[in-house]
Amino acid sequence: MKKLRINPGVAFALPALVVLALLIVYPLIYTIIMSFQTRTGGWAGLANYERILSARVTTVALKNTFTYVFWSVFFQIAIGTFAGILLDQKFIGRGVARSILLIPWVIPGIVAATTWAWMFHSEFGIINYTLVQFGVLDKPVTWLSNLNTVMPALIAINVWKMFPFVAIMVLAGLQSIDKTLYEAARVDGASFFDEVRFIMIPQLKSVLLAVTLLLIIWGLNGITIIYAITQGGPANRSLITPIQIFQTAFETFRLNDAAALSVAFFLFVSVLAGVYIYISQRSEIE
Amino acid sequence: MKPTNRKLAAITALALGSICLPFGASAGEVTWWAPNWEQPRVDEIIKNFEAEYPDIKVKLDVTVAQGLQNRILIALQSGNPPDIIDSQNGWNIPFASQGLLAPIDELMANTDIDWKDFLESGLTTARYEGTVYGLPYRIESHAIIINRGMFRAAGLDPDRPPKTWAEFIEAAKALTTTGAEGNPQYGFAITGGGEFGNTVYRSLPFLRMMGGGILNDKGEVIVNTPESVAGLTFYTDFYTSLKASPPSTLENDGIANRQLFTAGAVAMYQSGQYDLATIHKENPALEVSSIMIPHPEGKQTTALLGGWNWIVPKDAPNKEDAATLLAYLARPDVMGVYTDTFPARESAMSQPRFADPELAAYREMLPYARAPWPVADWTQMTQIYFTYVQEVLTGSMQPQEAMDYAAEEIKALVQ
Amino acid sequence: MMKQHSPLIMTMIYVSVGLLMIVSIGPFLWMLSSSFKQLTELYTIPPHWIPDMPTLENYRKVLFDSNIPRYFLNSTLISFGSTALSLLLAVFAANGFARFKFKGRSSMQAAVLGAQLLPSAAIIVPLFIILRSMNLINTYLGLILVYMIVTLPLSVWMLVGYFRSIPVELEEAAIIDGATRLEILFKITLPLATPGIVAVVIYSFVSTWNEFIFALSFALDKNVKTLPIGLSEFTTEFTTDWGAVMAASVVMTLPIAFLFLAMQRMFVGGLMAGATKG
Repeated sequence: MKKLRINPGVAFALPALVVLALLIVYPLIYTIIMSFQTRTGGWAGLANYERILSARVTTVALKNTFTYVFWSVFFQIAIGTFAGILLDQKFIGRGVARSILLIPWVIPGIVAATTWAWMFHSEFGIINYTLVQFGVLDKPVTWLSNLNTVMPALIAINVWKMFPFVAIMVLAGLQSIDKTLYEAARVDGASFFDEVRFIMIPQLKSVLLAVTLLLIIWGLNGITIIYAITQGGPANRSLITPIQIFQTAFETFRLNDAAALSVAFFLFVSVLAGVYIYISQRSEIE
Repeated sequence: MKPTNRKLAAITALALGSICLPFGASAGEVTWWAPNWEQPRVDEIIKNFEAEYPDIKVKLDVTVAQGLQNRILIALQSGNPPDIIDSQNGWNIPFASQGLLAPIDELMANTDIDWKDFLESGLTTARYEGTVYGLPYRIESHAIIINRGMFRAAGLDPDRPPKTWAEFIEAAKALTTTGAEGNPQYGFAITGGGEFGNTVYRSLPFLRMMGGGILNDKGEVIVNTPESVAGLTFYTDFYTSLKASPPSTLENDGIANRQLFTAGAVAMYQSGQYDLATIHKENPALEVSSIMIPHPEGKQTTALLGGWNWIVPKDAPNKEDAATLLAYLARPDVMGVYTDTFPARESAMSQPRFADPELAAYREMLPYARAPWPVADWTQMTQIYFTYVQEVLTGSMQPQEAMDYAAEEIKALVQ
Repeated sequence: MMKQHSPLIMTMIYVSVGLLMIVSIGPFLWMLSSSFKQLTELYTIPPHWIPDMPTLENYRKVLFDSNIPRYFLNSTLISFGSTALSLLLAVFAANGFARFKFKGRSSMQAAVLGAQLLPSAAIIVPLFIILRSMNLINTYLGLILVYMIVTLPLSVWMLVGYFRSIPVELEEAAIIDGATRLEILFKITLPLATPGIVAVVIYSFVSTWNEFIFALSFALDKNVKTLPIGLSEFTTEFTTDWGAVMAASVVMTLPIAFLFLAMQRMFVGGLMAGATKG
């Protein structure tokens, strides 16, 4: 290795970093500047931050965001990993099953959300109708407007939408597992469940850690499903911070407040992601 | 693996070879953003305009309802907007208050436009701090759409509909029953879900009939006064205590209520005249008419004025020709064709299409319809109000308590 | 797997697969059923699965009487373009992160995620300004570039994971044989990482195929608009042609599912094919 040459690793990474920097540096600066301005462009100091961060709705939204993201990611990973391992097994119709499994993820988000809202509807919905028909419920449930069911229903829809993504990533990860590991395990008399526990899950660890991080980040910024179904309602019970930002900017036209909230949320999520990366890298080294 | 190599190369070539289609406006070209539902009429209008003004070319960009307000806002903010935009009148003042729009009165000073012919409530939606920032072309009011068959089945006369709140409650109760096919039927569907404007436009008029509202004329917050609470209680009671509005109320916006009405689950609901054509198309058998919105005994009815304005962005590249096009569009005969509901100027109202007897209730409501308050944060205030209306509908708060919270949050905005 | 499972486990597998399939395809079947319904049948109480009077009218409208075919072409080109570009950039970047040690490596890798941490509502206006200054509003290239925010962070991170799971001994052997870094990447690492690359390609394609808000904001012209915008064109101010939306959604969804059906064969492990370890 010649000493003066730029590290090839940096050279390889550079084009991607440059493209992303091109797309993100200016928006970041722009947003920061806006967050310190008044509506007409004057200097506002911290007024926007004070106003938006002290609003009651901001705390509500942040709490909802935690609930929504935590349970969504938990079930996406659990069901997605299960489905990924399942689809790695040999069975008749595997190719077709893999393609069908992909469908929730492939359906456009807005259409999927609207279809679910339609299916969940208290009057028109096929879900209530079917449950009542089979005697599971004695009367229709207002899934999307009952304060206790709205969040679980939205999380279920979100899990349904994204678990195929996890399954595909897991399926790909399983392919690079060294097959001799299975053979060795079998010689020792390991069952299928032992293989899952002692070979697949440990070998999938780095993939799962990365997928979890990405799901958390998407969850923290994903608005399509909730926005299309409840718009954060009823009474803000399903309002999450990215929707609050969207509504503040584009529905109530308070762009500076939205910018302030964006910057605060950006810092918050960055710290969260940083801690996660730090912890997961340490655990990977161990 | 060489195939991967080759595939990569081919994909790269495709990416780099993608076509670039930069857009630029030439002199004498006016760019106009009109929504997709205007398309059948807008093409004809542009053709006629270009025949009369051969020096000006109109470049039409068709917009869609979904995400329209952010698309407009992005264009206005970015400094690269079109010349004319069709905008809901509720967005006009928020845009103007951020300094994003060109003053229309100044722009049109050299044209022969007759402002006195425009309905004052329409102009109010465009006026901010004394300057007019939009040209109203379409105005409308809600009324109440009723199922005549259900009226008769409940022993009510659809031609002598309820006029006062007391009569209306009685009718809603009588119409809440088991329908012809054994499915539940609801007397009066209110909205409690969807985009917040749905419920604001449907509930706020009841507060105002009682003398309440969100702000009074002095700009003071009055959303938790006894008058406002009485009006809100009247609205929410249809769902919370009378059960005359369907269980799905908190999921429903105006469109969902129309679907419930069309499916025969609802006897009455509030909407604009635009719903009539859809109902006729989706359920031709339904016998439908519209009535004025009932008022409290001894008081007047009211509604919130809806509609659309043309706006010209501050950074519009070709304001001069935009003014020429606007003057053409504002002609009574052109505006009368272009509007989906009613035209914003008196003299255009004489077109025969507006005399349709089916539209009578909407026409009669029009003089009672008032513009939303012309303050910059109106949308933010109504969103707060909506959140607490939902608190009432979910049963987690009483109307007074909810409006007290709303008042507190709205006051924080006013300061 | 090389071994057959016991009958008990096979039964469990079939039952689980069956359940997953029902859950996955249920809403799609509802869409499919709605796409064959007439206007008067869409909203009925009670709802029903099988249309009484099935019609192809919705599909006729979508295929011959709307902008969907044109948008299909636009979407295809844009999704291919952004998938290819992000794959190209990500393969190199991931290789750099996975196989080299250099100062600031993990913070650079973390910075890749930065683009996804800002709420999209905040970045649309400044992005519009950037694109305009580059004269890329209303161009395929503009959307492809913007979609790097959507596709690149994930592609880099996932590929780093997949690359790391490939035994480094193989590459070391090649270095001793005198291969260059690029030769190693393209002849050894990539073929072995095929399943990971397929997964990343599917991800990029699907997420750009369905992206709405950027497309709405940066593609104003019929020649560039994409399919999600096409769906919203069936909605006017107060009415949505649901039959047509559902038909268009089916038209949008099925090609991707078939594409995947064809590609899923590539999910066979790279290591198994080579039997290289050892």
